[in-house]
Amino acid sequence: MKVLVFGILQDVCKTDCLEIDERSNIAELKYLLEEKFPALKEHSYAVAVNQRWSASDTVLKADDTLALLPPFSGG
Amino acid sequence: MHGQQALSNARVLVVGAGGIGCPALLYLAAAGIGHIGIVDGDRISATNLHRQVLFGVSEVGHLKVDIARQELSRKYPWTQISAFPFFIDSSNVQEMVDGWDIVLDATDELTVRYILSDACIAGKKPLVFGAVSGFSLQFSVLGYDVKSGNAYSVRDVFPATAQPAGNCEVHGTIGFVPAMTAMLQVNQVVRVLLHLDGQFTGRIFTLDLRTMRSLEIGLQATMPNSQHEWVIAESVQDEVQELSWEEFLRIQPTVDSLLLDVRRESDARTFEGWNQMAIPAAELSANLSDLEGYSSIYCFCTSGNSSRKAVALLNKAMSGKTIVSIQGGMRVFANLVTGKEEDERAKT
Repeated sequence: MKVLVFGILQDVCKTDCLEIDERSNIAELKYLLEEKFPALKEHSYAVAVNQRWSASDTVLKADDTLALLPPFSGG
Repeated sequence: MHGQQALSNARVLVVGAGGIGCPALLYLAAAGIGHIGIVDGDRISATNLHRQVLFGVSEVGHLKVDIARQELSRKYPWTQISAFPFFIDSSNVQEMVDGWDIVLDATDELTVRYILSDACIAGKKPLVFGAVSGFSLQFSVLGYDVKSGNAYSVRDVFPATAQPAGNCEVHGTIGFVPAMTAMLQVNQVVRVLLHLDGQFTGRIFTLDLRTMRSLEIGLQATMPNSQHEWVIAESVQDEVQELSWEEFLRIQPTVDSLLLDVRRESDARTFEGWNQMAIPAAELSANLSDLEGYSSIYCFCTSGNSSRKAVALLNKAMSGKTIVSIQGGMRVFANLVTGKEEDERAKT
């Protein structure tokens, strides 16, 4: 499962794209990511699945592309 | 020619004369916009210059709007420039927005983005949103869409409880990231004003300049926030005690109270009578032992975001201490000091 990482979260995850084992929903994905990158807990972010905003109970499929987006506030 | 005439009749308000605002202003004026308003209460600092391309070294300390107006009027005398040397807040936002055809959001504060968005929807104005985070940028046409009658809010994109990932002054950015954002916004301003195709309404565009990966996400009109859920940072969920600068300056410092600068780069400003220390927010966890001897710790940063995070972190790591964040950071302090100097000058 591919997870694209945007903005300042790239510094937290040290990459712009993560390959992770299949997860059944976003809540599980979030749990796994925060275990891997504890500093993620300090950041707010939204998860998009296949270019749609998605809720934490959204069911995931192996070929889904996910994206982690922080609130963009710089200017 | 018809289009050029329409642009010369147009009134565009640019909120923020920073990394997005400066290039946006240059290209709006160069495109022949008839009347441009610039709102920003901030003064030019040396750390702005790499991305705020209207300003130079000799103008450090001046009001951004004054120098922007001078520079734009010199280059593009056909454009009328109105400068508003204050920050947008809930008391002035509606009045500011109402006098213009379209608003370009070039602020770097999430809270200002919310009230600007609310005022544009209430005043039925399109709002051309643009923002950066690291090497990524985002833009969209929010606010009121004249064509469909729909409204799109910044609150649809980020909920009010989301913790901003810091602004450019805190995290640093390279000038071309906000500049590219500005060009995408100027393109949208022109498209909206001339009723051209390709208006980016009802969706938000994200581009990562490291990988050139882009993402387009649809927005639903009129704010059903239920369409997505945000993971809210733990530091926002924590109660953080805050004080204004006015409140802080009334406190009598004691031997065991500390004023802690958590900015990435400290300017070594001294506050009389206070024990002072500078530890960047990101390095606090590794330097907790330095803070052990103090019973009260007052944290400040550039704009008040990092100091909130620092207080949340310290509250977890240490017990039995009063740990407070000073609201608005040095940005508010600088204006407080400048305001007082101006008052005193006026008296003499």
